Amino acid sequence: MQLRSHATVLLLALVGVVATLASTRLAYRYERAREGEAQETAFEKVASTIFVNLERDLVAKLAVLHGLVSFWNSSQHVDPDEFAIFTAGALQRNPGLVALEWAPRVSRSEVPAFLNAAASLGWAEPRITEIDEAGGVRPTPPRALHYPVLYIEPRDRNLAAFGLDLGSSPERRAALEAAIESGQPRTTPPVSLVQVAGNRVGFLSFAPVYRGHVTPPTVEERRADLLGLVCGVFRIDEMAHDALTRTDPANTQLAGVDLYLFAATGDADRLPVHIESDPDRGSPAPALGLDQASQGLARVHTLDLEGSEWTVVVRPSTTPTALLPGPLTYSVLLGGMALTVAFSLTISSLSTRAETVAAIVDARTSELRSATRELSERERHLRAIVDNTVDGILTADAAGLIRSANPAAARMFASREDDLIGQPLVELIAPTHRIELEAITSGMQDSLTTLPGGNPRELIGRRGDGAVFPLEISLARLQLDERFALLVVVRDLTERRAVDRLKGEFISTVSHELRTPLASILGSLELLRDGQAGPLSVQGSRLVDLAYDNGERLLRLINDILDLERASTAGMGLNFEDLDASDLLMESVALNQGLAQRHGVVLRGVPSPKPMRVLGDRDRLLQVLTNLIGNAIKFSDAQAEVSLRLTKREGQVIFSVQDQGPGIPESFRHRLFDPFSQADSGDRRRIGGTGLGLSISKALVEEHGGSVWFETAPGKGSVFHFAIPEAPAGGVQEAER
Amino acid sequence: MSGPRFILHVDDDASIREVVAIMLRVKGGFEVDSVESGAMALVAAAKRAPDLVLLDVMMPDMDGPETLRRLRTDLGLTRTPVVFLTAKVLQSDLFQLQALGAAAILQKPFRGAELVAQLRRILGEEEG
Repeated sequence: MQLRSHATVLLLALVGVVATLASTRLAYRYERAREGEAQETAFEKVASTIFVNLERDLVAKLAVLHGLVSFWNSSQHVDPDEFAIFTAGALQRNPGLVALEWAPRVSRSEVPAFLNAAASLGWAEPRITEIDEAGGVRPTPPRALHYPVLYIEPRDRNLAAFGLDLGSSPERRAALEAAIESGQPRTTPPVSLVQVAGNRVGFLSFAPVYRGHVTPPTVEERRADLLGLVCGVFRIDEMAHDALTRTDPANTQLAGVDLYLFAATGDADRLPVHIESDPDRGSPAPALGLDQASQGLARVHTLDLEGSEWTVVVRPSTTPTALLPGPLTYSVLLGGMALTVAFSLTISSLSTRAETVAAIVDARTSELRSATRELSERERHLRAIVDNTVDGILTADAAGLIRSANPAAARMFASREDDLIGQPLVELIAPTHRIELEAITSGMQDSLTTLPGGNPRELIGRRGDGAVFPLEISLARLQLDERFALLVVVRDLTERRAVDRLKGEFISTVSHELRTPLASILGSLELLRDGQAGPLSVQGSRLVDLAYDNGERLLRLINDILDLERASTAGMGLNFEDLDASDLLMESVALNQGLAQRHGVVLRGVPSPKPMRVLGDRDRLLQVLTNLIGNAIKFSDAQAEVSLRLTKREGQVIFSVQDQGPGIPESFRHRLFDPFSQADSGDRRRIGGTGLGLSISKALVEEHGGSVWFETAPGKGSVFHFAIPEAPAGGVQEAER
Repeated sequence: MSGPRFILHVDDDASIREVVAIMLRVKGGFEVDSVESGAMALVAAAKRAPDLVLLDVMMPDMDGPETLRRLRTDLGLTRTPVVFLTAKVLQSDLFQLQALGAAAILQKPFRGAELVAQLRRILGEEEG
């Protein structure tokens, strides 16, 4: 559609141009005899038209290169097929564009990898080459950095350029370095092209591609982050030919135009790098130096091509006849020319713009295609995760209806994904626990903020067949298109519960089986010690004591392991009571007075003057206090003091046990509450603990909804604190409600 | 009451039986009959009614609770105090034993003096 309208515009414009040309030519012929001087001005116009056309043509072609860079930046990696597809259209539309290339930056150590990559692309003889004196190619000696061509399109016409190190010739190298350092496309001066048989003249334009999507800010970073270069190879003769033939008026009104192209710098009489002869002249235009070519009616223009400059000269291909100026001829010619130039400019502009637009559209389409591909790839990836995860993942809308469910959710609820959709979410929960779920979800709907993952709750689920099972549910609020949605992640706890139960049973059985023989051992030792088997020698008595103490230690260990197991799985089954914190504190002091005396330590409790009540399990809290006191005593020297205090803060009662011991070594602090951790094996021997006390205490305090922590300094002792919630005013019943 | 109190001790573990028998005889001055199973306990109790039964919980064939039930129903020993001596420690297990009507639940390992003191207390209470 666009093509057709473009063609129509062109056709109309051409008709217009032809009509204008015809009339202008007629007018000119009529007036020529009188107004020959018009020729000069006319030629000036023609020349400028040629220059403008040439410049626009170049800009359009360079736009292709910009498009290719955008394409590269949008995907970072481009495979040869993508490269071929992207470049095909641009190459077809731009006859002067000989080749488009991709040359990665290859350091010396990366050469083997490059050759492997080249071999895997199907090159017959992978190697890195440079241009030889004869204009052919030969293997290049090793350099610190190469920029060898890896992709090139069209492939079949450019086989010679595969592996050509773009940095191997000085002109190419200068432009390439300038491109890398500036982050902008840079163009070579005229060079002879490897890609084209017959050693044609053209230029190369390089555009750098960096890691990431932006040009790094400094030259050093640009050098370091360079991925490679996109390179366009342009044939200047094609462009010059186009510029001449598209500027028809010149050929019709004047006898014809020759175009000379020179490097921008050099001797005044330097020879052109290319001559485009008037197609209508019988013989090729003479090879004139710049000085000579610029004489007479000739017009000179400097083309600035992104970093390199060229000098273009156009001159009439035949010697003009006598100049006979006259106002009418002049005006007729001028009017005609102006009209023609206007038309010509319009056509040229339309066609140039169309090509530029086409290149941009191409680049954008390609970007869009690769973005779409990336998006669908990412979607597939996410889909695979959601489909294969063992957790059930569902979404529900504001009405609480399920909107999506993954296969794991369907399996968990013994249903099909399609059957779940549209069902109320609460149906997945056993009737006994629905109120709980509704309370959570309605709270989330009211809240204005997006809740994060949220604390998982344990509820009872209900399968499609009516069976119930324990599950863990996490809810998060999603904001989808301004609508409330709920993300629900459910985990079946059936197996975990079974494992917990097995573990609990195992530990309890082991504990039972160990206690029975231990009862006989300790009982027998007790009888021996009491002299029931006759009097013991001093040494015998000492050995029996040793055996008895170690038997008791073994028993403590068994008890602790059992405690820890219960604390870490199903909970301890605490019996909560409303307790007076001071009573508890003083009771623990009384209980441990014997131990303190044996160690020569002063154990002191400071009751609170104000009543402080806590909600807790008396025996378990005494166990925690005893453990902390025991540790404090064991690490205290004789005469040292261990003191207990109470404080209150933010609805919590804090119990503190302070000692004057050596403090806790820095290296040990982070694992103090880990099971079986003691500062060193020497300590264990000295203090005779199991290494489980603090982990049990921590579990117990946490079971009370509290926390435990410590402060310590080497040589200045330690203070262990634990905080548990104050009892509410109404007592236990209030709390449980 | 004349003579030492007669205690029937039931436990499938021979070493426990031996240690407990010595403790009860020497420290408590009790008369002790030790048997290794619930079935033998029923036979012994039928032969001579004990003043107190000290009963293990986990035993093959007939466990402690079953033995207790049979003592009560088969032999009609409804008033004889039964004390469980068990290596079980789980609160839930202990509650269940309590619900069976045991006079006390004592745990293994045990100290001789404490064991004797507990049994004396129970027997004293029974006397009172």
